[in-house]
Amino acid sequence: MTDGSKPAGAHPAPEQEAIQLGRSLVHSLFVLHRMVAHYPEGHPAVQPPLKDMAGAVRQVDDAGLKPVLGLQGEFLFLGGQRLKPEAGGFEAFAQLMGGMRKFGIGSIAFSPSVAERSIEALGRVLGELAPPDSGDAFDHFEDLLGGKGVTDIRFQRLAEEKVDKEEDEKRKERARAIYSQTLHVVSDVMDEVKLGKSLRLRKSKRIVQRMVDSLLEAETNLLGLTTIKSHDEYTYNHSVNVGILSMAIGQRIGLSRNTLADLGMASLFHDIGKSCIPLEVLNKPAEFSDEEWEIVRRHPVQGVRELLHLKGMDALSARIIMGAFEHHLGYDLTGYPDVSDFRGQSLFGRIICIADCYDAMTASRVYSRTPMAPEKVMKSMLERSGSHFDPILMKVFVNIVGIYPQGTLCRLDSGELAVVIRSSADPDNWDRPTVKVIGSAAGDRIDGDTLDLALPDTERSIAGTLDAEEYGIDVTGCFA
Amino acid sequence: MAEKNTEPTQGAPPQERDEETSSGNDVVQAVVKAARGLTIYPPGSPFHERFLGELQQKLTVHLEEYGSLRLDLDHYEIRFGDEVVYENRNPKESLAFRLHADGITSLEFREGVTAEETAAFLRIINTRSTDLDDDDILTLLWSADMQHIGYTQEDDLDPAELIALGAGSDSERQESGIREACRAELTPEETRPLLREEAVGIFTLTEEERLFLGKAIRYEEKRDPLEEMVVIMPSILASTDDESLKVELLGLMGGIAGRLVADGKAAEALFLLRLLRDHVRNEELSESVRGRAAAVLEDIGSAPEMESPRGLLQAAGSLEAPLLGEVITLLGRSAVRPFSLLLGEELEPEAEKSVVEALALVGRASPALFLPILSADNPRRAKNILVILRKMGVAADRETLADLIGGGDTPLRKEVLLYLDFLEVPGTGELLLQMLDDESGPLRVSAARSLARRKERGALEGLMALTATPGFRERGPAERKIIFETIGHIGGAEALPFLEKLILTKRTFARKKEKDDVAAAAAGLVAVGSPAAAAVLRGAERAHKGEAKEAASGALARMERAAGNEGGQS
Repeated sequence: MTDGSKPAGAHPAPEQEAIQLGRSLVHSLFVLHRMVAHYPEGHPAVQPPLKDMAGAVRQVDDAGLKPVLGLQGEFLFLGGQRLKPEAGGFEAFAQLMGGMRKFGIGSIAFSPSVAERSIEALGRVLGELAPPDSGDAFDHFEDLLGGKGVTDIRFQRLAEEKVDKEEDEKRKERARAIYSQTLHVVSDVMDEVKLGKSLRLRKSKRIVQRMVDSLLEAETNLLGLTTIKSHDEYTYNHSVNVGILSMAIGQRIGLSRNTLADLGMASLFHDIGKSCIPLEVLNKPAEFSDEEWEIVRRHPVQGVRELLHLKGMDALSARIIMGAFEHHLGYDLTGYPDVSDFRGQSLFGRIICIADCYDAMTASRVYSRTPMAPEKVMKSMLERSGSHFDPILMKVFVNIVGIYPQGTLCRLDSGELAVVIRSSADPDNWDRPTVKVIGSAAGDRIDGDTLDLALPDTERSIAGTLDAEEYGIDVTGCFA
Repeated sequence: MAEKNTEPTQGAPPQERDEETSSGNDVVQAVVKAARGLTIYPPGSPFHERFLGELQQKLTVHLEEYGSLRLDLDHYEIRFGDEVVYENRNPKESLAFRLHADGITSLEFREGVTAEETAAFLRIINTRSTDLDDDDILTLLWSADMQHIGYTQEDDLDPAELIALGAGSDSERQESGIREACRAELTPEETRPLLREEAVGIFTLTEEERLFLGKAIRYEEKRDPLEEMVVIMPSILASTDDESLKVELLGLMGGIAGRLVADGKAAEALFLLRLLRDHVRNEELSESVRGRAAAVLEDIGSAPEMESPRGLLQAAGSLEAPLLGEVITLLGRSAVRPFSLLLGEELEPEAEKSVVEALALVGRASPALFLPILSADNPRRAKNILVILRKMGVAADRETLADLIGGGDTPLRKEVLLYLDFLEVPGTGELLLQMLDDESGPLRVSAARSLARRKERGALEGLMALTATPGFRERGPAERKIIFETIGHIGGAEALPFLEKLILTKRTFARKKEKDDVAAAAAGLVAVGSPAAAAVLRGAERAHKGEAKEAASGALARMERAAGNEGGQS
């Protein structure tokens, strides 16, 4: 059973207001964090963000809400209202959540008349200082702020997150079921296209709506599954992976739920034109000949044709058509098909372009015909940020997959071998992802711990990265 | 509908449980009633508001008292707790069946539910989707994202469909790989963290970037994907050299253009039509591509959906008049029927004029296409079609025109008259005579003048007969005068005996009548304008006295003046 409902009690208008005010509060704190990192105490440049922050607290109070920011799981709350970041605002959320987690803070309660010097002290302690190597991080944090005379901001300790393993496993299982079901749906649709049948996308729409729900609930579960690269069903796996990665970008930039579902449909079927490519070409294990490349390069326009022919023209078709046509064009339109006088890639096109390229390059059966390690793909893509890829969306994408993307094989400074299973939500800890240990320092295969390298007591860091494909290591077992 | 008393649920006092069940039952009944009412009565009916109001009131009362209302669904039943509060085993009618068939297993209404949510909920549950639709009740409920109305859905993630995920790697290979990887010397490239120095720049969005992104998102969420699609169509077409693909895409585009026109999206359609035209004109393209584009353009207007007046009306209203004309011109003769039918609707005058002019242009090659549409059933349309025919110089048949005169409204009959003035239609005299009996005085006068101008000799007898009809004398003196002038113009010497008889008739006890007759006949004699006519007028001058005599004298003077003028001029 999937509950498509929401918690009771909140009214739409106040809910929206609370979200807006909460975002404003988080953003103010983020700006302050950046400023205090560059300017000393009392510097005039820090005054405007301090005033903004104090103003944001007052606004929350004026709206009849409690100015209390809470951390629970992967989400921030203002009072009881879960806050969803807006366009490009995830970084501020991630930074605050990272800071709170670092010091074991569960909630920050501001007095409505909080003093600016208290806010400054909070910004400096939260942003600049590292927790102690030993002792209780939360006590240390409180001591530090107490020492600075902060009495008008109160903190609560982060309740030890009850890791409901059963619930967690259920969610993962559910994500796997959704992934698997989506593979079926994509394969069915592609088969229908091959047979020239009218396209019925209701089943696809339903599964995409579930994907959206799953991503909104816990992005990591579905994202982890994108490390799956099937050799036999490349196109289907690739389509699903691109769907998930695209929706993850869409979610981070704050697309509405319905637009996210549209993006899901567009990205899931971006390669629909490949159903027209002969299988012997599509599944060719070696490099393509020039002629084969020519055939492959036709698939965006073939996709348009198939959709117009089999689905007709409505708003949903139009969205899918644009995704199919634009996903290889590139931000600077130097990709294919050759277009002149084009208005540029749409937002969906730019998102799918990034997701498609990342998944294709990390898979083993396309383009270069040899897979690249995720972090190398990321580096290669970053080099083309601003030319082939939208630079702003690339930043968002890096925030999602990290510099060490999921599936990256790495050796820790302890000598253990591990696989990155989640990038750090805190951009300050970009090089400290969560990893799953798969090999002991002695070189034995183990089902090791999952370690959050950003936590001080983990006491391990990444010494270097390795190419899993080169060593014949299948990392998907950590996700699937 | 079934209502039963059930055992109270655990923990709730019996009476309270009964009241809650009863209240829940009331809500369900109100839902069913409102859902049915919305399908029976047309949109805008006061019943809609009434049913919705009743439901909202019952829901609010229940939710205020009990906080929420959860209803479980089965194939044919809706249950509140253990109580069946709705049962209908007819799949065509059953609300439970409809919801359950789409995978909904329960509904939950929570305190705070708004009237908008209730209305949206009812609209959604009344949706009857076909297999080809992309949406069903479930997807629509999800999209509606209602804060206070939730649902649960059947878990249709079939375990049998689950497939083994992951490429897999045999255990031995995995172990040896791990061993090798642990022992491998890390190269400098492998140990160097990627782009460390640029990390902050990589992760952090500037304020400007945030704003830019926000703007892009707002645009994306607001824009009409269909419009956007149309804009990129030329690029799509231009991006392929594959001729057969291009030809196929052109055909598909034609279909889209037709749908867009029929849906009232004329601006987008115009964009595609121009594109097709450009393909027809582009000499660099192959004959097959150009020919296909021409054929596609020619066929668009014949699509069945183009017969929808609502869409075309919207299309006509959405474009500036000249652009609307361009749509028609581009569609060519296939536009004749749909847009001719559209001319029966109430259009902005500018748009109407534009459609008429464009149709007159594109219809010239096939004027016969208009004739079946020419009927008095829709006077507005008939008038417009007549204008088009007039502009094209095409004659309609006499019977049709007679029908239009007999059944049309004044503007239509006026247009018929104008049309007859411009064109040589066999039997025009009879038609104009028919119009002399028109209910509109000015129209009768115009018809008479038209007869005079045309010197329709065949109409003389009819005209003279008209003057003897009982109602003729009731017409104003000006109109009567014009009729007699017409008789004089048309008949000349042939009309003299008739006019002479009338002008010499004396009415001892009806001086006014006598004077009117003299004045009318004198007007006819002036129109004849011959010496014989002048002699008759002189005779009348002598025969009558008073006003009648003055009328004859005045006419004679006019005639002499006219003759003098003519002589002077010559």
